[in-house]
Amino acid sequence: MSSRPATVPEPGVALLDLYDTALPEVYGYLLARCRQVALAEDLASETFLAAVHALRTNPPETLTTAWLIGIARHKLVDHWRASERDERGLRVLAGEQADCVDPWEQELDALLAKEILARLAHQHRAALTLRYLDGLPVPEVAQHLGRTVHATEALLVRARIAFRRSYADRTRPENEGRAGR
Amino acid sequence: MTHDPLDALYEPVLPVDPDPTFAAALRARLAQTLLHGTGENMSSETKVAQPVEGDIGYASLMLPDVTRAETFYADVLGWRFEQGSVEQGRQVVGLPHQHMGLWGGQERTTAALAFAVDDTKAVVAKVRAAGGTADEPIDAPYGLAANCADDQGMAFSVYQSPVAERGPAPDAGTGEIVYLTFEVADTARFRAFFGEVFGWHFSQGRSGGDRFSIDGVRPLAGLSGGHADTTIVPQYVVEDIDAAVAKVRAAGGTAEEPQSQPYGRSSECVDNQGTRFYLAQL
Repeated sequence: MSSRPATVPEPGVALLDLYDTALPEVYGYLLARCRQVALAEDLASETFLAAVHALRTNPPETLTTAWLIGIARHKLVDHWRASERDERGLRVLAGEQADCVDPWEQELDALLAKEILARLAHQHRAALTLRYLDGLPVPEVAQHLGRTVHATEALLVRARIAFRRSYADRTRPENEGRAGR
Repeated sequence: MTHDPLDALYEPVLPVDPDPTFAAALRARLAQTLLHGTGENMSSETKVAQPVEGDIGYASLMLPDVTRAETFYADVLGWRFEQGSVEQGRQVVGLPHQHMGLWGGQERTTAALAFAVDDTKAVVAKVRAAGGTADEPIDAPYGLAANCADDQGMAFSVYQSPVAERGPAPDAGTGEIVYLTFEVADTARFRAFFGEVFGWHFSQGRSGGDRFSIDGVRPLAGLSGGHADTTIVPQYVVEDIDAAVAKVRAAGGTAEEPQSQPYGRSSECVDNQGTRFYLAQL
């Protein structure tokens, strides 16, 4: 038996082993959704540091990149939630009745769609990102947002309306020239 | 549900290589956190001071019974512990700046130190050239590390610290080491060896005799000669030395009456398993 003090517990070693392959995935996930390098770096840092904490307190059965991306998703939602709190009262979410759910058959321009997404209210952006970019079912979206399924469905409806309104606004012929900002 | 235009937003996870500087810095921070972190305050900037060449990045008390030691140091210094990866190891958690542990199953009690260095391979070569011994460096999660011994047989380890700059030295917090005394046989050999290996400089102790302080090292440290065995004796900061002395005695240790010193009040103590230490109220 070695007489040297062992200093790093085993799960930590596994996390460092996974780091090189997992970091580009976690970072890629975050960057595609928040679209800001500095923020993606911050959130990636928070993700891995939170993983260290989770390994000590509530370790997963197996340590995988998918588990890390789950943490990253959490950090992203937390960020938007905090931003929403910071801006509460400044942002006007007027005219968002959830009653006009007429069918919408348009093919979206993905680049423009993401630009619009980035300008929505944070809670709308969070809901749409989890539901559509991540492709999560509504109950999982609800879990991440800390809402009931019912409230999440209502939020998604409002978010879609807000999104659709902006999208229609930006693609009106007289605004075509502004589409690229 | 039929066609949903928003389904076009689906975005599979595509890896993107981040800035290599960022990736390296985060890896280093993770390794530090895994090595030293408490599991709390993870998302805030680490308060841990970054050690540099020859600074003591980790101290582990070597003693016979780790469970008895846990009880004693929790009572006297308020240390909290986390189980290490093996039965005989414990990490002290929650100290403001320092990283410490306990290591049981040892007959002779002393502190084992890990020194932070800029270049482990270079230091290993210097250790060997100066008459000490050094294992081949291994790629430990917290940096390239090597177990070494000096030319008088004192075991220590070195590890490559990712940060090469020295920040302002923090004051030792309650329960932390404010001073380390290296009790050695031959201070001239010690000074020659560590002068070569870490580039340390020494100053003659104010009280004269065979005592020296090590310039600039963190935590503060000094050496005293003429001892049969090399022992590293820590001095810990307490808020109330009279209360701490009473706790040492109540926990099965011994403590001398506190003495006034230029820096505050100090007491020489022995824990419940024969490990010597000092307490200081600054």
